[in-house]
Amino acid sequence: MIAHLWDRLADAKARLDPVQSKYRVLFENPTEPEAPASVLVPDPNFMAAALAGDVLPPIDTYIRDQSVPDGQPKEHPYAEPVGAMTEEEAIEYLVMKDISPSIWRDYNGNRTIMKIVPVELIPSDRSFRNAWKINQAEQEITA
Amino acid sequence: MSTLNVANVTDGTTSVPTGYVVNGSAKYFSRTTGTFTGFIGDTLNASSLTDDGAGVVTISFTSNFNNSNYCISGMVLATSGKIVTSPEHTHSVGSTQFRVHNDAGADSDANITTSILGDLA
Repeated sequence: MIAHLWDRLADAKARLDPVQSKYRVLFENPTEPEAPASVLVPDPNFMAAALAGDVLPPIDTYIRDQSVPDGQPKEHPYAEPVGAMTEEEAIEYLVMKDISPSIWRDYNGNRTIMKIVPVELIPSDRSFRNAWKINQAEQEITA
Repeated sequence: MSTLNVANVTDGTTSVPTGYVVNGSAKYFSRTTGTFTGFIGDTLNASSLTDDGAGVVTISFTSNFNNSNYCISGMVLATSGKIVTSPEHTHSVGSTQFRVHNDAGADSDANITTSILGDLA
């Protein structure tokens, strides 16, 4: 019998060292053009579990569970865990899990609304944080 | 991994069903940096944070909740003048948003600690 995801996470947390990712995911919501760009930061314990393997469920179980109503049984907690991922594969997994499909799958516009970038490209000056947009020409964001 | 399968927990005098212990524990906690650049120290059941702008952060969970009626608590790590809220319309089984406000009511960056009690899927 497959242990619940919660139990697998607890076991992984007890035996794995956290892993700080060198990547961040920049994205904009096309339905909110006035909103600033968002920056997704992976959790170190999640990254450790993804890189070790045999903890996280297949990503398609999370996606199917998005359409399951509140209170109804979900598929992902007891799904067969997937194997070890590279850091890049783990970031792609996280994009599909934590960012709306309207951004990473369904958007058909010409504007670049999502980029995976090294952490060094995220500005440290937040004086104009609510004006951040993804630079359409360079591998960085500008205020 | 071994599993202790018991129906009740007792100290010899008082006995409670194991479900009270399991369901009564926090199913998520974290502490973020003041500018939402990452997590500080230990976390539980978070998969990512998303910096959505000044004073606004969305936390996603690895093991989703069964419903979005969970119980949230949070604290701003500041000496005065700021509070953290969580707009109800942002609550979902897989994520929730937190907003930090300054004493003028505007969104404002700050370190926050948050935790959630609730039933997992």
